[in-house]
Amino acid sequence: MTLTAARPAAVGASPSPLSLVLTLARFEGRQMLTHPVLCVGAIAAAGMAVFELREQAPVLNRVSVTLAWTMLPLAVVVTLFAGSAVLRAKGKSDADPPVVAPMAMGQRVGGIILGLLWPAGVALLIQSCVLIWIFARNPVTTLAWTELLAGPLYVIFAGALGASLTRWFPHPATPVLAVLVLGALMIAIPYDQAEWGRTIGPEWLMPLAWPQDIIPYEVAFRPAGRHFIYLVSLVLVLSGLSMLSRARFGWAVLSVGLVGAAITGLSQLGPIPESRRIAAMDRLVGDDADLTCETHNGVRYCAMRGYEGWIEQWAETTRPVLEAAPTSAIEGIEIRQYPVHNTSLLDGDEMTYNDWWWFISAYDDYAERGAVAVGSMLADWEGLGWVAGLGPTVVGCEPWSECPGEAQRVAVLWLAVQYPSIQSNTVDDPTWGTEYAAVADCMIKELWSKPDSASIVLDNWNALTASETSYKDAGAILGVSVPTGYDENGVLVGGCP
Amino acid sequence: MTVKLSEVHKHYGSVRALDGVDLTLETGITGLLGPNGAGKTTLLRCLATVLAPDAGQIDVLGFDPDQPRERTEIRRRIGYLPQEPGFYRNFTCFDFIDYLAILKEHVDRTERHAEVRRVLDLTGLSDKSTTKIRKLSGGMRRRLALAQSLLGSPGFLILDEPTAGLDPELRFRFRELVTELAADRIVLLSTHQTEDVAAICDRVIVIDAGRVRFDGTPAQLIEVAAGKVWLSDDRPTTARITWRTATGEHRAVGEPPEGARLIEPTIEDGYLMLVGVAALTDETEAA
Repeated sequence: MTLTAARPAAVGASPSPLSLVLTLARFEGRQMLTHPVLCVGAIAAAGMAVFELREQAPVLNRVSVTLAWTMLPLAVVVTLFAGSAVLRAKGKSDADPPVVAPMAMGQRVGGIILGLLWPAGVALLIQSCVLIWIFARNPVTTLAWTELLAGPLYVIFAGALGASLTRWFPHPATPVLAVLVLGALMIAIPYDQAEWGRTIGPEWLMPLAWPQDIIPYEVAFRPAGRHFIYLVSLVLVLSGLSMLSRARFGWAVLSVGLVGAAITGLSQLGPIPESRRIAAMDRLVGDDADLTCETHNGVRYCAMRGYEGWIEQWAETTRPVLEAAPTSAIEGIEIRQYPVHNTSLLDGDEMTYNDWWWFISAYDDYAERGAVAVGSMLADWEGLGWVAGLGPTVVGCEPWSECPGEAQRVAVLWLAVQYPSIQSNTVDDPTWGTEYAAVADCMIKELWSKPDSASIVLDNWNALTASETSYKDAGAILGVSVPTGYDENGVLVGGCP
Repeated sequence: MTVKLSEVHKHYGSVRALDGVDLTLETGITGLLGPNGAGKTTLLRCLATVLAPDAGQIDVLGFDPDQPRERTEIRRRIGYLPQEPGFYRNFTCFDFIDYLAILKEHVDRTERHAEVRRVLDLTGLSDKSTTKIRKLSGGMRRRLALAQSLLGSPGFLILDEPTAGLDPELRFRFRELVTELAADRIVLLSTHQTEDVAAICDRVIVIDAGRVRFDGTPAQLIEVAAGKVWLSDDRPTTARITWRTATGEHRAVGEPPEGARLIEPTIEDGYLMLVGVAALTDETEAA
């Protein structure tokens, strides 16, 4: 100790609450940034982001970006930090020095919450780096800046949750409890909702939820601007709750947050208009400049950026299908790549969404789907999921064998079985078509056994693919039997004739 | 610049921690003595606005701690060293003081950091500013706690056992420091170290069972035991308190017998005369 003491300073005017809060925010932010645990959380978040987004080409899956659940490790760390900081600010006992400090508790919590901007900056940095890495691969997409802020917002949301809970339930276990609440909000509840197939509703009001009725969801996610404001409002609600005191500021923040959350939350309810989905699709792939097209054997193939090298493989995949179709059906056809984010196959329902965005891929199983898709296009058939599944068909009109347009299924399947692997898995399989196969499957199996089947189909192509042609008509045209029909479970009665 | 307490009462259940305390503190160092459980810490916590009294009036530097706004004004003007302050083990010394400086509304970064360095320097912790608190010894932590109480050069300094855990050299330096500080502010010092009180306090208050038993100068407290302290070869049976000294003689405080070998009393003798056996037990525990 030195032996000299300074003169006491006169107590001047107290600083403004805002400057106090900002000063504490800088301190708390620096404490968080320099803590080793935050580094661990940031590395984990970056790792998850890379893992989740590594195949984001050619289309950027905006769900993955917007949900930003990859920031969860960082959010967990920040939740614990914020809760601990609130406990520290309150003082462990009434003998703690902070207890007799003049700064109001609401201001202290405000400083902690504003300090969350520092780890949120880390989240922004991680997300930006990952997106730069993705965009370096030239994906076909556009990205709203509000989506880019989703990750940082989740980090702030998590911290505000930890601060709010700990403010009103000050216990060392509360930050851990806040992490559990965060996990429930961001993972468990949305997952449960999706698992049980519940309709859109409460999950839209959650900070993180899986959209269930948007197809294709990777390009038409939530209205980004509104959801951004919604998340900001949620943060304001939590901040307001944690800053409540005699001063009006906390109440004002809470009120603004509640109003904002209510308006933007409600505005997210309800189905997404079809026009918006199409607009989203158009925004993504509507510009032909994004496609590279090449013509092979008279057919134009168009691939998205980064997939140009696959066109030859697609041409090879579709060649047997195209060769089996009449020249008139092939004329002017253009086969475009379906816009899926990582080339994985979507459900049949999703493939029917837009009948001119055919999915084509050179991958093993996907190639079969591609063959079926091209066959459907050539036969002018929109019921793609049916053929792709090769399962039983329940006809929606009576008598089922006379429903118009059903013969197109036979035409599609005829073209599809030209593809070797479909052929070996269907008509070459002795068990195929005996029990659970559909009517068209049985007819094709019988047709396949005829030596002049190709010419029969080609000669009668127009009649077979006409919109009024039924199964019964197709049987007569092709000279094959039509199965008896289906039982109440959709199983073909007696198998193939 | 005064601190006033009028008929202040504070109960914990059936225990009377403060029982009608009337005091006025002015510039200078006031020592607060009393056995364990006498109400010293309760009194300090009431003055530090941590506790509200059950009855009575407190006026700290012209502000009423019952009023929220005035309580804040008091907090802006006091420095409080709790008996057992909480520390944040992962903070460095600098961060700890810096954090508390922010809570004490030191906004300007340059000035605040200068102030942090000043109080660390005052308490001899300059070279430990980047050391984590968990690595500090008990004595160093005590100095760190003292450093935070000095932030902003408060007009009223409340120190609860400030020299506990300090080695003799540091205690000496602490006395020097507090003497310097007290030139133009009120310092209330609660301690079991009667030597500290004798060395630096202008005034001493003895409190026992929540009541003020003595209020005067250290010399007056010594005077309480004048003619009542003696040495004896054998343990005297009539003494109020007696203990064996290093020379093998017995030092006794109380009513001396005829022909007793009277000696000069100390402030401790005066204190013992006032609070008797309770204080002796307390001293033994402290040792």
